[in-house]
Amino acid sequence: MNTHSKVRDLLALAASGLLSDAEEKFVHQHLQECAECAAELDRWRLITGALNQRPAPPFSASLAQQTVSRVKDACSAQSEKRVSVFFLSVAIGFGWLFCLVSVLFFAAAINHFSFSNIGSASIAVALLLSTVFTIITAGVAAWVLMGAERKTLYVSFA
Amino acid sequence: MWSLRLNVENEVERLRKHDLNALDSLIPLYQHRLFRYLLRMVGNNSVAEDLFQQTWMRVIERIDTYKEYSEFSAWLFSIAHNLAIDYWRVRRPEPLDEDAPANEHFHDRSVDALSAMISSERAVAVAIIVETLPPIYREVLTLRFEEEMKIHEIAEVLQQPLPTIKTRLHRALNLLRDRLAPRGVAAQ
Repeated sequence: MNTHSKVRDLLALAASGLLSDAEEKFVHQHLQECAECAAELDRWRLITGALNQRPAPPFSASLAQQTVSRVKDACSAQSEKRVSVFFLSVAIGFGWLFCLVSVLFFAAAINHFSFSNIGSASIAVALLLSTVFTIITAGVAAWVLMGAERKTLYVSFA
Repeated sequence: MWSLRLNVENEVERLRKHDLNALDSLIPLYQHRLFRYLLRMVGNNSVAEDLFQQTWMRVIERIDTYKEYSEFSAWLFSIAHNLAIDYWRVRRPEPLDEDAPANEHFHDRSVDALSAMISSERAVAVAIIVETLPPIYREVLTLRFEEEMKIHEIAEVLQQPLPTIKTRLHRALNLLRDRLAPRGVAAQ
């Protein structure tokens, strides 16, 4: 590729002000002796100049205020959700304990209310039942919460 | 310029401390530029407004990641860029370097473009043709010529290396010129 072709290839970027110092010097030197490239650069400048002056789109004056309100609403909803997740976790913990104690009482009742006679198998069953119950409850709660989030995302994209 | 930067840094610091009132002074500083960029990207006023709001919501969510960027504006525009790209991928599954979908108003507006050329309103004619370019080309032209970003800032916003940005701009300008040529704009 000769100098002329190389410079021609750089003219679009030259009109955009995106050449490196070395490229700028190289182009400038060539332009002093090549009227064709100088005219071509002028044509590129017409286009880049017009790009700078595209008409600005209309802007809604209330958009900033609406945005602030939406962000604040989302943040307060988020903190409410955090609080509800906290209470839900506490409730699930208590539920698990309640379930465990209930199953142990049930086992004791079968053994004529004698806690000392509860075998390790009964304790294992109690632990298993209460854990399964807790997992199911937590799963349903998580599904409900995630479902609400999916719905929010969908609405914001629709 | 320096005082503006200091002001922005102060407001960002307030946001980091969860003071949402900082948005009252931060949003007006960027609202026109950000909205214009989003509108150029998606071509629809209500979608641009929604993405504008989502951009600021994401600013709040990810304020702790801002330090990786040299300028708040670069970070802000990179968030807007990602949201606009997501929008394009969901709504318009064709590749982003393909032409914008045929605009039903385009043929009517090309008549306007012709009259704009005749009356030397080159900027209007160019704006109409830019709308028909593929999104990735519209984007670099907007960032460079409307937002007047330097090439390294554009690279930061788009998370692409400098040579990629240069190549993309070069292609965008050539494509624009090819499309302007039949209407005589580039030759004037």
